[in-house]
Amino acid sequence: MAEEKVYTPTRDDFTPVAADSSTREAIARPSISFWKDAMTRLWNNRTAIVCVIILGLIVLGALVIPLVSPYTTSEQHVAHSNASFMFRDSADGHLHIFGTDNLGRDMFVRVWDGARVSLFIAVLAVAINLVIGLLYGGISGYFGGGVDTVMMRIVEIVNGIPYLIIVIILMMVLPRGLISIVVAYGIVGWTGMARLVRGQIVSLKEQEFIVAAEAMGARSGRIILRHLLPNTLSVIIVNITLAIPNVIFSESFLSFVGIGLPPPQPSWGVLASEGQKVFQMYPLQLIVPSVFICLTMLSFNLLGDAMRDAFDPKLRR
Amino acid sequence: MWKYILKRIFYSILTIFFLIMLTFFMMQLLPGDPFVGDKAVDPVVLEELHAKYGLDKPVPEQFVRYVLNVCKGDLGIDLKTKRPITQTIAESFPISFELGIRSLIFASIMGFFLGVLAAVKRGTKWDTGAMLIALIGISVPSFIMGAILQYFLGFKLFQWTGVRVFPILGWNTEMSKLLPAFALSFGSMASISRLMRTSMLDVMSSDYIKTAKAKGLSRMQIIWRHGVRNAVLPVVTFLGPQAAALLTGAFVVENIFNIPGLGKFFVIGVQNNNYTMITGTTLFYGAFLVVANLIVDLLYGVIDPRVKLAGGKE
Repeated sequence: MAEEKVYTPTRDDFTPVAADSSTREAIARPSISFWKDAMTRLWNNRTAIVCVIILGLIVLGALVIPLVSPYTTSEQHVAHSNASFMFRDSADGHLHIFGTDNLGRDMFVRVWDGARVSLFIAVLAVAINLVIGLLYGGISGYFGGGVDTVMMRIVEIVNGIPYLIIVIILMMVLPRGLISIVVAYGIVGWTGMARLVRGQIVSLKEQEFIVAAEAMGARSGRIILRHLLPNTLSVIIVNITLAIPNVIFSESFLSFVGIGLPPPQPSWGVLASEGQKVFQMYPLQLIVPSVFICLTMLSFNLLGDAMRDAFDPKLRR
Repeated sequence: MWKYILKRIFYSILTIFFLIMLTFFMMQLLPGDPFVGDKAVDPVVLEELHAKYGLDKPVPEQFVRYVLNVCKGDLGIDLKTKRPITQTIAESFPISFELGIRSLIFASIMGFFLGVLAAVKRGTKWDTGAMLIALIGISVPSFIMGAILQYFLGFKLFQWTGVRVFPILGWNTEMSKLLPAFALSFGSMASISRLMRTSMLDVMSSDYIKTAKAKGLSRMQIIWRHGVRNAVLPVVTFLGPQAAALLTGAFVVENIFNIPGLGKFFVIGVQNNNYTMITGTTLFYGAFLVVANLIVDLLYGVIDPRVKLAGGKE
């Protein structure tokens, strides 16, 4: 048997590293901030990326296509109304990618213009909710005590009634139109956001870093802006992402009930409710807006879920 | 416990009062006379109606009158048909109620099983599949779901097979009730299954499940006796708000399937600017939901002993 030489290190082979407190305290790995970490995880989530791309394309299409399309949203092509998918008229060379509706209006430009309106309503309404919810929840949570009790009771009472019923009542009083939908939803939809913000602030303000900030003499404004709000931001972003499909749904619902946007302005809800009336004969006119509504809601929901996972410190590895 | 019940009842009454106030001020803000519809009304009748509903009095007195009328169960008169609103509600609400109950039962059972399945088989294709169904349910509004079902199961199936399995419209035979109930329940089913899954995952990672495993209980026993029993509790509270979602969803589903429920009358009222109909049904809906929420909350206190303990400490 061949003798194998195994080297045994002795004590002399090692020299102690000089004990330097500055190098010992240094963090070996690059520090990853909460946002960087969340973004990395979101970026590695394939579903989230696909959702972002889909939503990006829809937004881009909504902004660009109505501008470059050869047709307008109210232009009627009576010669070929209720046209089918990818219809090309041999007489005048008109191409209708998604066909036309029963008044001969091009569905392709209408659905993209509808996207613009639906998304505009959704973003604006959620922005109003966000502002009211942040202020209301922030004040309620930060001051606590009697103010908090009264404010949260009011939220509870408003929450006791389904928001769509209140929105319908408001829509009866307000003139029909885009701004009315935004206002009606904005007035009602903030309760969820207010509750969320309040809950976050209440749990945060007892924590040590807030006490430390107070001890160092920070004013309330600085504490709220620099310490409280940034820490609630992740929850708020998730909530916004999940609130947008809700508004899109509400807008479609109002159009379906018959108090949505006045004609000829299309929105996804208007298109879906028009399509529903003729869907046995021309299913395409319902399918096209439905696919857009579902795809958008699905993307926002999936993205919201992915964000929730990415922001969740419990899942941080 | 009693303190909690009384508190809840007090807030419920306050909510209904808020709703009455809202509908009253809506009526005040609207232009025109609430009793004048499309056709001209006999001035004598108009005077009588005004006197009956106190519209010739100052606003605060009108409000008191309105509240008293509502408390007596008088919700006003339908502007179009000149029938009392309560009569319309009495005739059409049972249909909506049946639709809602069918949907709620279906949504609860399906949601429950999907949620438990997804949680127990976490990370497998069962989980993915169940959550995919849930996501579709959340992302497809009930009116689109209704139309899809109508088109494929009601219309196309008939064209292909020649057998009328599911009628497209109406609410008379047992088969005609299936599609609308399913269309309405899909969204709720999705929410319930997602909630059930999270709740179940939460419970399954708790200490008493470890204890149960250590005791050597079978997997089935752990899941059903210790897991599901505790996981289902938060889902029960969710049923109250779900009733509200089903109710507003029914507005559209009843219209699509032409079901003579209250939701259809409400929507027709909205389209015709039939104000008394809208306020009347709104108040009825509001009161119904508030009571439903109250019952669910109290029920929660009964089935979950931990709530009782928390109430006792106060």
